[in-house]
Amino acid sequence: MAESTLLTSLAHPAVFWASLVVISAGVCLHRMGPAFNRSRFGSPLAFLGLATLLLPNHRTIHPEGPVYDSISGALLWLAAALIGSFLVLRGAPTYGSWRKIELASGWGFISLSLYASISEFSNIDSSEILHGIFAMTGFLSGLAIFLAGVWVSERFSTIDDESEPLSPDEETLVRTILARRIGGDLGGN
Amino acid sequence: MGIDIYQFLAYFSGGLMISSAYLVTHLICTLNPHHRPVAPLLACVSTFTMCVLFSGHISNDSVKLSTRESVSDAMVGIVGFLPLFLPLLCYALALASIRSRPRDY
Repeated sequence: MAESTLLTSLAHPAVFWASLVVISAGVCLHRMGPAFNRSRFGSPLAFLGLATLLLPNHRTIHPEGPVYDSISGALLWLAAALIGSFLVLRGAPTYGSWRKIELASGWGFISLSLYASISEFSNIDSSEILHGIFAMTGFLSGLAIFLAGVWVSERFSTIDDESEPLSPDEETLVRTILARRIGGDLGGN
Repeated sequence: MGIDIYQFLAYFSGGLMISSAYLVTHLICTLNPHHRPVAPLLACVSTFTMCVLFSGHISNDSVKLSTRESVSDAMVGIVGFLPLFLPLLCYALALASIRSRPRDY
């Protein structure tokens, strides 16, 4: 009884939109990479947001109910595509040798995703595709406006000061790395 | 099948609001000493505000409800449209699967 009361109270538009923001924040923090300490909060935040988003009572709220239905309908093929992409990229020979098991299982997930998405996509009518094109045009326009902002920011920014010359230790380190990567003896010249 | 211009504008502004809200979140989360986020942040916030006002203008509902409706409809449209990107993903992954990084000599 107490659990159902809690779930009902969580089925609120503010919780729904906040969970989407938390998922976005998790993805963005994770994308910062290991150089930034706060990147470790990315995955937990994204999973917390996903768990909150998928509360079943969100189906009942208006106008967010159809969003819940479409996301939960696409969840199978989206998850399969994400897991498959991760496994394929880990197994690919881009930064090392082949990992055939990961590559094969990754393509298995991708095939599952393709199969599930085709069956999902076959239920969509032409007006929904048209709506998707309209919305996607708006989404891409938002990206273009953001890129214009980045361009303006870079166009009018100046270099603060020149870098300091390398210290003797840094010079030795750079020389060692270059000798190791390029080969041969760079000597002291 | 006719295209209603108001419907197009509602979905378009919904898509704009989704991307600008996501990019504002991105700018805040990735803030670091080498960042110059003012211009892109202003661009995203002003785009979002204009779309909110526009959604309220073309709808008979309140600004809050019309914004939620517009963003929800756009989100349903985008999620429904996503399977079309799957072949592109497969193509990129197929390239990554067969191509190895050239050795440094």
